[in-house]
Amino acid sequence: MLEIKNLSVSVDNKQILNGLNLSVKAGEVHAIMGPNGSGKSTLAHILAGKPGYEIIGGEIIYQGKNLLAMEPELRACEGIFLAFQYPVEISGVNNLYFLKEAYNAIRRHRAEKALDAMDFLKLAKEKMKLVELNESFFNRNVNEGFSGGEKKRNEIFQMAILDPTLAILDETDSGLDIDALKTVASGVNHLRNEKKAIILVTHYQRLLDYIKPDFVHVLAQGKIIKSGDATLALRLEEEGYSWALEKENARA
Amino acid sequence: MGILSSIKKREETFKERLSLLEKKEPSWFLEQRRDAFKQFSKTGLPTRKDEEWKYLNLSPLSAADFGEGKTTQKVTLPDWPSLADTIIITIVNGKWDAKLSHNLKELPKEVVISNLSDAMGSRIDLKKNINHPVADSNSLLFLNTAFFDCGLFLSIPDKTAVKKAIVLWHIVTHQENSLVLPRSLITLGKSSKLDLVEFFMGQTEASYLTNNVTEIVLGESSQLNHLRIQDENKNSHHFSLTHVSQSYQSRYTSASFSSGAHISRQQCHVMMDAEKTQCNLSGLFIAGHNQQMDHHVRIDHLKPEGTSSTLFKGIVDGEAKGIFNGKVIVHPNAWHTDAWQKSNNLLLSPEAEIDPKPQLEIFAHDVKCSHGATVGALDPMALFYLNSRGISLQKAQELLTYGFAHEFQVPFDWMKNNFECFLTQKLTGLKFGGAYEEV
Repeated sequence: MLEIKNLSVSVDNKQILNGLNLSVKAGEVHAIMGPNGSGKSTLAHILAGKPGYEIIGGEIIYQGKNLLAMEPELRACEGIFLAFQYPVEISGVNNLYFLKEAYNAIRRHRAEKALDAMDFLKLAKEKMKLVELNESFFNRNVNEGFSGGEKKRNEIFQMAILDPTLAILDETDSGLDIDALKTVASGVNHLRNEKKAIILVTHYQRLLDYIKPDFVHVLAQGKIIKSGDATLALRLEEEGYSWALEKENARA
Repeated sequence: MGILSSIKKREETFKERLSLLEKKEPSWFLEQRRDAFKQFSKTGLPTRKDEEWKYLNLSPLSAADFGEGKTTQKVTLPDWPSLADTIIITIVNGKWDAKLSHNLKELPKEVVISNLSDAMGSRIDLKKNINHPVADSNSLLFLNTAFFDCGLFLSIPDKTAVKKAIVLWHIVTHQENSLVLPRSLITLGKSSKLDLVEFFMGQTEASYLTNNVTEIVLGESSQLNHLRIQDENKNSHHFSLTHVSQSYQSRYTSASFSSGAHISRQQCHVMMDAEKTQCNLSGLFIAGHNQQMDHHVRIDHLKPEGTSSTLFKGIVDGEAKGIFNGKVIVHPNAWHTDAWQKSNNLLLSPEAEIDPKPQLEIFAHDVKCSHGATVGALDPMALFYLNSRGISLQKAQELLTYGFAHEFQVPFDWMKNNFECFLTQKLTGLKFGGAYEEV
């Protein structure tokens, strides 16, 4: 589904990613872990098409297409979804209205009929149960005045509605209490199936207790220095990132 | 030749008008007309040398040949569903047309609607309610006073709450280069209440010039909710003066929306000349392409314990120019005044220009006043957030602009949905820095 080949990226002439390779197949859940400043969020942003990054080498192939040539809205229409680490507050724009616009934009792209307000409301009511939000969220402005936990749940709610093929969760676990973490994780697990893939970007092993990854990768110094199964995350939790870094540096 | 460009034509037209009005209007008003004519002849249209007009370029108007108009078109009533249950007074090319009005019978029978010329003939008390001087520049008021035809007088008696809103539906059907001079005097008696809409719309694509004057006199404890919508065609020009005089404990709430006309200037002057008056002014303007849009607001706090608020939001795109000038003056005896003023502006294109100028002059002790202005662009992070959900760049820009505009609300619940549709439609016409087609 997704092939990242030798990707190098810089921001303001500072190189962040340095020859990164990653392959993700349908049905898989990949966790990307790594120390602060290793380029995890950059990778998530690049996949969603955030402007401001300079691609200095490599390519990303998503479902056989050159992802880097696509505008962010086209990527979303083709099934990519980024759950933001810091969801943006948008005053004056109604949460449900915004989501209906997004949902219908994606449906139109797939040459499907747009839903009217009534049918969309029905869909939203059904999906909101997944993340235990109440209906008052519909009429609030997008993320405005939401608590940290509410913002993250709103991201998962949006993901449930938009039903992506490839979901990227950028530190969705940070700032969540245990109950919110469980809710978010069960929302994600609910969307998991053999046709979809999920990339979890996280600092901590904790989230992986609730969402079992098929693969764990360590991202450091702008590339993936170690890959393994779920046990790698446990090892990292015990030994810290310095363990993985030392091994990599010894190899080099 | 037209009235604006030819002195000879102006004098001839004025003499002709006056001879027709001599039997109709009282001598005190004919005198005011003569005086206004003299004053206008002396000054002409304002120029950029005038401090209050320095950002607006009127030179295209002086060159054009505005004069009396000829009409060819039929008139249509508004297609806003929410207006079906209102009382509509249709004013065609500046003149009230009783035949084209709607639901007039539903007004309480003490309410007076008449031709202003006739009303002045029978009521000497109107002398104190008409032709209030405006502080800044009076030349457009002079032009209107000298030449307006008939005018409209609307009077709500004491203790009358008019249940249905009254809509002054101003439309222009005249052809090229006509000068349209609507004039209204609206008085509210003690403890009366009115919802008023002034709607300005062109039904032709012609380049005409509207120069409207609306004077409003609020009696003790009366309440007026006033909405103005300026949606003239993009070839036309629109000037407007709204003058409000407030009495004890009266409340004036005004919302002004504009998106029309090529060159426009709307001025609102509120005299809070009694204790415990309240005045809330809000505005939203959307200027695109090569429009020039000027809003001038002036509030005079003359007596104690008045409260006023002013919130104007400007959206400027293309090579358009927006101007906001708000002046609040707290006079020496107006202690315990509470006044704030805010101008927030959104620039959507690198060629767009906005000149906000909030001003506050305080000559009294023990008052609470604030003012401020902001100018900004759309937040790139918010745009990316919307794009990342599949929403196109154009639609994302429209949504964020809508979010910015949303703080502006019409003062009537029954019109909210209808206005939101109208606003959404106006935002769809913006290019967000992209090229406008020549109109």
